[in-house]
Amino acid sequence: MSHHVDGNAVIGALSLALGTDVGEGSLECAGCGDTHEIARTHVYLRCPGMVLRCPGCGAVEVVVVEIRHRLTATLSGVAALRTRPSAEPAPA
Amino acid sequence: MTDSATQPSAALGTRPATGRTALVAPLAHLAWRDVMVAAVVEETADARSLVLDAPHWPGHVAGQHVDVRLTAPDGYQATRSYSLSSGPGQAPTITVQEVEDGEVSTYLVRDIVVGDTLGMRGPIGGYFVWAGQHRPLLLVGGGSGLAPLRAMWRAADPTAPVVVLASVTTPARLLYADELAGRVRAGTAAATVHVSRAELPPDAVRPGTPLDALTLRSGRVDAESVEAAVAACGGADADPAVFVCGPTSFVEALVDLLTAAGLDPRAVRAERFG
Repeated sequence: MSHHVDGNAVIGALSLALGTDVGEGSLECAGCGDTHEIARTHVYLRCPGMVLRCPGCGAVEVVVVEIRHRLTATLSGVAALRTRPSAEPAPA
Repeated sequence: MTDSATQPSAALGTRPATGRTALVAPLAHLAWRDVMVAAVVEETADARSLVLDAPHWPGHVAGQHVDVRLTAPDGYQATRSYSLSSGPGQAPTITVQEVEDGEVSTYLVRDIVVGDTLGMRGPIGGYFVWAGQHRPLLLVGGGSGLAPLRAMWRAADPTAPVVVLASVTTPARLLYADELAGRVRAGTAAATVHVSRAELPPDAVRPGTPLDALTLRSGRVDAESVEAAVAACGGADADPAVFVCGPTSFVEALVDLLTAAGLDPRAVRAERFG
């Protein structure tokens, strides 16, 4: 049951859902306050959708569902999401 | 002036246009595209590399991956992530190892042929990446976890040490054996390969074959090999860049061993694939 991969696997879908590249982004868990790279979350793929859990406490942070061209990201367990500090500005 | 009934939709109609330039353009690489298989390289009995013809490929950094999507005739779709195993500047290439009952990997390893197309988006990822700085590089791979590590050793500064620690179930399942052996013979890498599930056959290491150039050991990767690999990088104080990729249980075990060998766990970047 603890058959998880890590957040690297969902960066593509999550970036699309959020409208910005979160490849170097981090999350603050709403449950335990742990702050970690999205790449370090525990990701369960064999669910309806992709479930990201906090590597600190195991709480569900994010659920991403991608069906056809429609993406839904539920961030119910996230206190804060940060992109990398020096995110490139969008080209004018 | 249009009538009030059409005004809201006209106003809404202008917003995606501005939003598109501000938001969608930087994510253009995440749009699904059909790409063609340009070449197939048989790596082992159950793994192959697919060289992809992606005309709009923006280039990638070693360690990044792509999402691959297959669509069945009935519309059913399956998406998987695969690491890029080619070096920066090279055509995007994925190495796929067949997994039992894998609906995507089995097709990619057994059925797809040159000229076929598949859905792809990427390159993706900014955490498990190596831009090739002048630092010792320690690459630890379990099974097909070697795929992104090949991109990294190809990107490495040739004057900095590259140390590879690999774990495979049997010697025949080692990916990139020829390339790795070539690097060792050329003096641009050191490599130790653990064979976890079989005693080494007596004829596994024949002079002149790829395995002859590599240091082979029976059993799972242990503290002794990890300590030797860290030492080969110049020790923990040499601040090696460390990347671990493999099945989740392998990665967890190796992160613990690397930490015990004196490395800061925050300096160890890992990618787990199940």
